[in-house]
Amino acid sequence: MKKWIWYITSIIFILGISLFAYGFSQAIAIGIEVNRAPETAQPAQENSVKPQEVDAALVMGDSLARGTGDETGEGFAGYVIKGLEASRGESLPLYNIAVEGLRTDALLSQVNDPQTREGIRSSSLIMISIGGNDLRAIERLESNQESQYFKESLDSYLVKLDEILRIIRTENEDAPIVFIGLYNLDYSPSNQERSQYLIDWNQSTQRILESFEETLFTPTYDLFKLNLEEYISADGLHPNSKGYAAIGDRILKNLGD
Amino acid sequence: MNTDTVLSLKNVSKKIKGRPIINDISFEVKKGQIYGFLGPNGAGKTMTLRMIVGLIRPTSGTVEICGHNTRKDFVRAMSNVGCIIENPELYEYLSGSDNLELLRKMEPDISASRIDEVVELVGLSHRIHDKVGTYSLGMKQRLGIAQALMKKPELLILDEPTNGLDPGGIKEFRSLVKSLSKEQGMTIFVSSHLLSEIQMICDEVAIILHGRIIKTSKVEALSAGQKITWNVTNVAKAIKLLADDFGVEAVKDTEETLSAFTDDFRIMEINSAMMSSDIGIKYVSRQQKSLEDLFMELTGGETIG
Amino acid sequence: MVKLIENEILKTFYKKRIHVIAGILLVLIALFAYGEHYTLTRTQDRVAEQLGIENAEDWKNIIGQQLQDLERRLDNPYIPDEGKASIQVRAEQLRFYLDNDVSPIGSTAARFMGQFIEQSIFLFLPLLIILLAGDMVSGEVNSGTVKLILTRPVKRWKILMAKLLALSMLEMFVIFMMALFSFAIAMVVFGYSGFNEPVITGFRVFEGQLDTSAVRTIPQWQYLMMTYAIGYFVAFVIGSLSLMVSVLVRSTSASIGIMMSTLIGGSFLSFFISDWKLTRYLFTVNLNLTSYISGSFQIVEGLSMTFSTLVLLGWSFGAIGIAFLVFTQKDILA
Repeated sequence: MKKWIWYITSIIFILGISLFAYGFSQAIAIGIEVNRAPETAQPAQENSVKPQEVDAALVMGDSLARGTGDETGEGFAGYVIKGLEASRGESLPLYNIAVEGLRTDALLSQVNDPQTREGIRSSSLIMISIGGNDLRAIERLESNQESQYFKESLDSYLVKLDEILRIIRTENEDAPIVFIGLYNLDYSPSNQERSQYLIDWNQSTQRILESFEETLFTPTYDLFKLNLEEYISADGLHPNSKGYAAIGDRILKNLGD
Repeated sequence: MNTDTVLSLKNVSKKIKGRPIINDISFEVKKGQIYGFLGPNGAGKTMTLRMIVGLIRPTSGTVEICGHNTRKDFVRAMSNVGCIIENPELYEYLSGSDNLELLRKMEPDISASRIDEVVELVGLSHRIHDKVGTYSLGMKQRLGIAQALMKKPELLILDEPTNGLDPGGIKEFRSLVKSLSKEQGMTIFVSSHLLSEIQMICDEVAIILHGRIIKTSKVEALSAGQKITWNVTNVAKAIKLLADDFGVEAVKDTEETLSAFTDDFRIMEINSAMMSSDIGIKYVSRQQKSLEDLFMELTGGETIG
Repeated sequence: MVKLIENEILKTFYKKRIHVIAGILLVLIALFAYGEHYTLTRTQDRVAEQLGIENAEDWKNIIGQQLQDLERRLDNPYIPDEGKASIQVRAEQLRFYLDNDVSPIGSTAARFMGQFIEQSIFLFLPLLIILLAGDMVSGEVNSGTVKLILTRPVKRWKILMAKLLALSMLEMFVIFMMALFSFAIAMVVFGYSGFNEPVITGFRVFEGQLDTSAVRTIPQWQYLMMTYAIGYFVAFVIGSLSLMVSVLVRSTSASIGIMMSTLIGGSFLSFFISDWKLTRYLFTVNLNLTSYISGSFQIVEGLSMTFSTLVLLGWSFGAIGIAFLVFTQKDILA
């Protein structure tokens, strides 16, 4: 019995020590890594993918800008680019930094980022879709709270939108800014109040845009009003390929191509 | 260095918190002797013993065992020693044989069969596989002796070994010690506060009091001279007679008795002298010298403790 | 020396010390596992609510969408390299869940093992080690058996060294038991071993902020090897400290009591760690080494894996030094 205790303990120890040596050295290695400051605090400008010195287009914002719901994955931005390339006869790179579910405050942070600013600087066309997610919480409210909520959201949104545009213009004075308006999912008379809110929202947005140069507000409200069945994708929320094409078409028209 | 000095202490002292507990002790134990270490409780016996076996460091002085300094060459010094210090405390959760096995592993050159030998010697064979926690005090003592004897040491050190033993056990112990000395030539160092114990086992003795050695001598010399008590009609006259005619200092105990230390052969002389001087003798009695008496004698009346 | 170590280990086993520790471990791990299992359903409901899905079983869809989104974000040239790392790593994790049909909620044996040691490393494990080591010397002085071993022809330092080495082996045994029991019980309760699941590590602190630019994934088994190795290290450090206290203090209960109160009291001092510079040199606040690789550490300037390791090593060696010094000179008066 006694010999067993000694043998087993010794074996466990010998095995354990080798595992320990390996595990601990690994842990220290990670620990040292952890301790070392990142090589550069600045973004590595030399190495990152740079938008080419030639014209490039930039699209930012929420899932609409991403193209969610489009079977072809293009979204309106892709459609616009295709159109521009066709008419100009040269390629136009498109950079899509949109994030699904993005809200205006997050877009503001993103735009503020030095990396993004760099991208803005070297763009020849900027497209934005934002604001739809700001109002998401409206679903959870009682009907008497909606009006207050809407007003607050709108005020906050407008301030941020203004700031976003200001930053963009600081980095880039010339590139046209195309802004996509909000559309409704329920245009029925029973949803009148909300429809009114949306119209208010879109109008206020347009007003802010006008205070900056070379901006283009592209409404979608009217596009979808009679075409919900055709233009909305299976998820019931985002446009489908046709819907995006419709938006893209309008933008192209507005750009005069 | 005398090769048959097994244990030697030279000017060993111990101070604790500045207070001297042991003061300048020196003595020698020769091979084959059964050497006693006598003193009342608190005199410093255990402290000295602990210094001999290395449990305590002397503040100054040296201890040598078989020529090896215990501080500079502990291992070689202690490889000649088997000892029991105070109560023999062993691992209660292990069996007797496990205890011995454990200790055996700590030293080289003790064969496995030796353990069986030694267990038989102390008479524990029937209980050796039981946990020590179940042993009686006597059994623990025996196991203590067993562990001390395992390596057939040159020097066996025992601290109050008969403490807690019954008369039968004490008798057994005495014969064991005598046989170890005679048959195996072991040198044995025994400490005790009982004069009778020392007298019965030892050849030589060192006496310690208040941390000092006050005498070393052969045991017989100590026993020489017993205390004689006379019950007489004229105590004062008797005392004078003893002092003038025999040079013996006598002490008045009561109105009717006096006592003195003297040897057997002189008693008859003293008796006739008293009778010739018209001192009537009622009775004469003899007492074994007690430790107190011994100390009184040696220290000239100094009190103990 | 080997024989001496053998002796010490045997003594500990026969004292039933290991048995007690094993018992405590079993009970605690079982309770922990049961607790996790019990809260699992509640957790699932909560997560479902958060993600806005009907049924927690729908995790596949959610994960799928999240994964797509992450992958598209990676194509974005404007994301700084620092940002890419955390996205990549998260994507890897999600990919794993989908490929192996493992729900990210709920537990696996590997996850459980990791959680258990992360949780116990700064208090529970040290307490177990204190139980193991606290009376290594003081117990023998108390019971008087120290006389037996110190009157053998063996130098004192060797005896203490044997105790120290035996302790190291026993600590390994305890860690082994912890791993074994948590694995076994978790397999029974959760069923899936999950050793290949990716774990995120490599979090950094830069200028007082959490920096995720260097994060990457490692498989669970590797992560577990690291955490358990750290666990052994902590056990060794606490063991050395306990040994020292055991040498310095006569009574066993005082010895164990001192270690325990230092451990618990010391952890309170971690509140002051950012302001009162001295507290970070206490061993108690540096015990939580696994937090550095799991990313759940409190961000304090100057506190890092290397720092904590060095502090603990310092304490450990100091304690061993003092233990040897005192033990070799000590008078055994009783």
